[in-house]
Amino acid sequence: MKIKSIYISAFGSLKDYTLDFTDGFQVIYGENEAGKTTVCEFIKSMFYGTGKRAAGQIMSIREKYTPWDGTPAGGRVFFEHGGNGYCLERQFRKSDAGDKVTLTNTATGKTEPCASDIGAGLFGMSVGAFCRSVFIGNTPAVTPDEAATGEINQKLSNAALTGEDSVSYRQVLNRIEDARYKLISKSGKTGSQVADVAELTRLEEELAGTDSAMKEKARIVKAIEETEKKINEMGKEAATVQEVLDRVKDIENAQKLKEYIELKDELDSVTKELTLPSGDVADDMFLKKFDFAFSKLDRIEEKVTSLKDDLDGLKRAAAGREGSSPDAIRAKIDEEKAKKEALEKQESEKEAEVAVLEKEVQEADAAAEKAQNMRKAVNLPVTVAGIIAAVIGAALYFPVKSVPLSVAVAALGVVAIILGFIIRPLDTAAKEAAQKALDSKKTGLSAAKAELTVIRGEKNNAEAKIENLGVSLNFGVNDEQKMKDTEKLLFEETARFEEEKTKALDFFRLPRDTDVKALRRQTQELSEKAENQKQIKLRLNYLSRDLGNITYEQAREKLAQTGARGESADTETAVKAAEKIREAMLGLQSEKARLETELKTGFRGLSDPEDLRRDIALLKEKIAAKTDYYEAAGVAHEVLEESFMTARKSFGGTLESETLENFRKLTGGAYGAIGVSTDFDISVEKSGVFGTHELEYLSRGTKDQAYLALRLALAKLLSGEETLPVILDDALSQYDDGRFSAAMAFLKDYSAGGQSILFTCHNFVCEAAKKENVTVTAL
Amino acid sequence: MDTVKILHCADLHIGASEAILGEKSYSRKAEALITFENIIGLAKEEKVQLLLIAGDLFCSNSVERSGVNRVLDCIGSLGVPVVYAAGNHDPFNSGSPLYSAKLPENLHILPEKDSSFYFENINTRVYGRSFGEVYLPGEPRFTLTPDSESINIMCQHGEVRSDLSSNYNSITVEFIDNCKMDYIALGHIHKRSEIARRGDTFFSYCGCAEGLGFDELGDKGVYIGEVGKGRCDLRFVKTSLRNHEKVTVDVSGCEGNAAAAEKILSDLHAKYGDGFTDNLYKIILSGDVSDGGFFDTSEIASRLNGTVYFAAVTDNTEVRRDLEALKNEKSLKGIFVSKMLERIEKDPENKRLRAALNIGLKAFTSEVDYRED
Repeated sequence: MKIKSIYISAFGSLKDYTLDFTDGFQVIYGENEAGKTTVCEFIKSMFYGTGKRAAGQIMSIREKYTPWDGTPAGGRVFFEHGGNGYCLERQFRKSDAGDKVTLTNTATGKTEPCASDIGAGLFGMSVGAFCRSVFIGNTPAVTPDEAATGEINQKLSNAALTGEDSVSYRQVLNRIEDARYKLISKSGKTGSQVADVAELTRLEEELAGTDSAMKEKARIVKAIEETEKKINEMGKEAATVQEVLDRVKDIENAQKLKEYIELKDELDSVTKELTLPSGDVADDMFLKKFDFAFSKLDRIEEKVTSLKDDLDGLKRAAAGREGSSPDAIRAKIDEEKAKKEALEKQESEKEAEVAVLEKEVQEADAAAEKAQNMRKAVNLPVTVAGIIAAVIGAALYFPVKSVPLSVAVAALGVVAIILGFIIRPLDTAAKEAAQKALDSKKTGLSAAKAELTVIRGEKNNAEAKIENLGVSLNFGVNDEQKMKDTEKLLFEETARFEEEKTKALDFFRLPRDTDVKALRRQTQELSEKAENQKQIKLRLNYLSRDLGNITYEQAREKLAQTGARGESADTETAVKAAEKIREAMLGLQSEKARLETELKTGFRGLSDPEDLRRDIALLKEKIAAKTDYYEAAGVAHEVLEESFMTARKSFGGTLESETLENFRKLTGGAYGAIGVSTDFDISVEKSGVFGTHELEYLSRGTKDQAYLALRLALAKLLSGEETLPVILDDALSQYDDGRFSAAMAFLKDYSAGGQSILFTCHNFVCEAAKKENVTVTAL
Repeated sequence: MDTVKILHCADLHIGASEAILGEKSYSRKAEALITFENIIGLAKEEKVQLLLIAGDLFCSNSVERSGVNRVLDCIGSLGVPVVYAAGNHDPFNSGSPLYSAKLPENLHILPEKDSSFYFENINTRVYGRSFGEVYLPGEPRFTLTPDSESINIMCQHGEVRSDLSSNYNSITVEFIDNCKMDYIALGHIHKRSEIARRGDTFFSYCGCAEGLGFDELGDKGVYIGEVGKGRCDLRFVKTSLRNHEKVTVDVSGCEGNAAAAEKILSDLHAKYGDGFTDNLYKIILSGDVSDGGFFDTSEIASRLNGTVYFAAVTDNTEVRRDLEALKNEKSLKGIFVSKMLERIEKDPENKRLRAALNIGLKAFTSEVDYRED
């Protein structure tokens, strides 16, 4: 297949543009932004459409190359294929499916049907394979990392096999495996289908459990019904036995019935006796009420009597106090008060007198004391002696003319005089006189005090008298008041008595003029009968209860019936039978209660079996669908592996030899061997040098050459019967001069009979091409 | 009176919810009660003389009291006799909410044993029995003899089948033949049946009144009309507020999920009219898609759920490929296709091989995890 020319009506920056191609090797030169890549993309898009936006790309190819001015993109490619000339026309619309694609046989002018990705049919490969084989773009910059990992190599090999740039065989296989493992894990223990199967098992077990639980429930319901039936039957039996027991009891009770009836009759009789004219029955309760009411009257009467007595007493006391009326007492009090006042006056005078006397006594006492120590002015004898001595002394001078002697005697005399003033004797006369005066004062004081005491005594008497008289006066006044109060109270109580009496008589419907006392006496007599009646009633109640709360009429009836039967009952047998039935009934009731509890509590939380069956059916469908998918994926996996082995076999050896051939030509025989692994890892061996090297150990230039060699080999292998044009978009830009020349020569040779188109922006490429007589066309 | 106008309904399952609807399950649950209210309204409008409820009025005996009260109020408001035979989902026992409730006078609940109620004003006797528990064994014959002077109608919840093996009140042909009823109003099977006849006895399942899942597709409702001696003129009246529908839509040519959703809505509108938005749909995508294209069923479902009440989407599309051209491709894909086509040729009925081919091809461009619908 060869591309003859292209016409771009509008695509990217190119509009109304025509470019012709030649056979063999051709170089198309254009500066940067001239449209080389645009032309390459146009060619690819014309044959394959633009595809979807690739992962990681901001916009799709279609978006990128849609003219900015809104002109619809489109164009034509004129090419030869299978010996025919064709015109492929395409108007790019919103998507590949929407593009208008027309293939016209230029010889016949007929339009042939074609798909949007016509290239797949024409080239026999997908767009991915196309892009990585015959469509050699500017290979990604061979960074050390990429080279090291062989990423590009992987992509190339993967693309060749899978037709997709970014997908490896491994990835395809992994996708299928992942999908399977998500359903059933490798170990078979986890996965959504495994979970569904486990859930199915659980549901089935639950259904089985529910089924048996439902059956058990139904059994219990039936058991309850049967127990109820038995209870009912037993109840009937019990009723029959009870009837017998009743009859037995009736016979036993005959005596009691008799007594009951008799007592009842007696009660009626006593009641009659107790019936008062008013119609009331003076029974125990009545009498109690009566007694209560009239006891109250008695108390009031007692009170009245007591008040009367008190009043009499007071009156008598008042009469006894004649002359001692409060007024007389008050006069006496005044008298005594006057007396007291006089005494008080006397007292104060006397006190004053006493005070004076006391003072005098004090003074006299002081004088007496002073007199105790009083001394005479001088000790006369001593003083006289001293004077005499002094005179003598003085007189002595003259006779004796002895001065010392005279002086001594005079001195002695002087001393004696001095001593006479010093050593004075006590003045006893003064002392006695003072003492006497004191005694006299004391006597006077004592007398005054005595008088004072007398006065005070009298005064106290007067006060006491006044107090006593005051008390008497109070008593007198109180008594008067008391009398008044008592009279008032008496009046009130008497009125109350009458009132209560009237009330009581009215209550008991007795005439107002009833002799209450007589009536009280009468009721005393009735109380005995009432007591008797009460006892009869108690006995009757007891019997009635004993006889099953029977009434009088029932008792009579029963007695009549019992009498009519004249049978004797086997009490013991009946009692035993009743006991047996009772026990059995209890047992059945207990059993019924147990079953009911079991029914109520034993089946809580049970799922509805119908719902379970529905869930099971749905789950089975789900599992079946997943199983189908799992198995189908398994088949896909198996066939994919087979396909890979087939691909490897068919490509493996041929690919290596083709690649080596190309590589040798490109490297000028520098490398003698090349190996392409199953993962398309390339390893090379230098000519004459033993040992292969993996690509990542080689230079960038050599790697590029290896890639080119491999891709051209792939392109050739994938081409089939008709060689395909190889389009290189500046693919040799990384080559050095030597390699470049080799590549140019190689490509020229490679393209003989076919077509290779190299787009470049480098002048040196053009120069080299011209040297090789390769057609160079400028964009 | 030769005929009596009846309304035959069953299997309301008031209180049941559809878990698949997510948040909408609550409002959907309430719709069963609304449907029952509408049925009562219909009965009043049509002036029916007798309402028959053939079981499963409630989804369980644990239904909310407010719902029960509302149902009883509606029944009470009807004014004509209502005969109810309890079903396996709401058996009439001490656990039933109706057991101790104050029932309206016109509501007659059939007990567990064969019984009847006579309605003199319409000369009609209704026979039947209720489920007392979840399971009720069938009986070969009905124990009561119908009154030949009155119209005899039976109201039963059970399974019509050839034997007595079902746990859900098997009703055999022998039973039908011997019961000598004029009409048997049946419940339990949610799919409506046509009016069948054996001898002089007509019988039918009215089906559920409101679908409960995608196994109950289409219109749901009640039977209403006249029945009498040798006569049965019942017509079906739709009562379901919403239908469950399974629809296959060809999305060939749709580029992307939005386009597919639009196509689906358009098809649904065309098929179901203006009311299509009320329904619940299981959409199965079919047709061919371009190679490399696939549909995101979750996104499509989200788009649809903005318009219709509920939609779930399954993708059954096949990638459009020229397999013949592809098998010649010198690539792994081509070899794969070639090998698969060989296998398919040898065993063309094997659907798994087709599925394997699709899975394998899809795996070249995208993940192929199994998607549950």
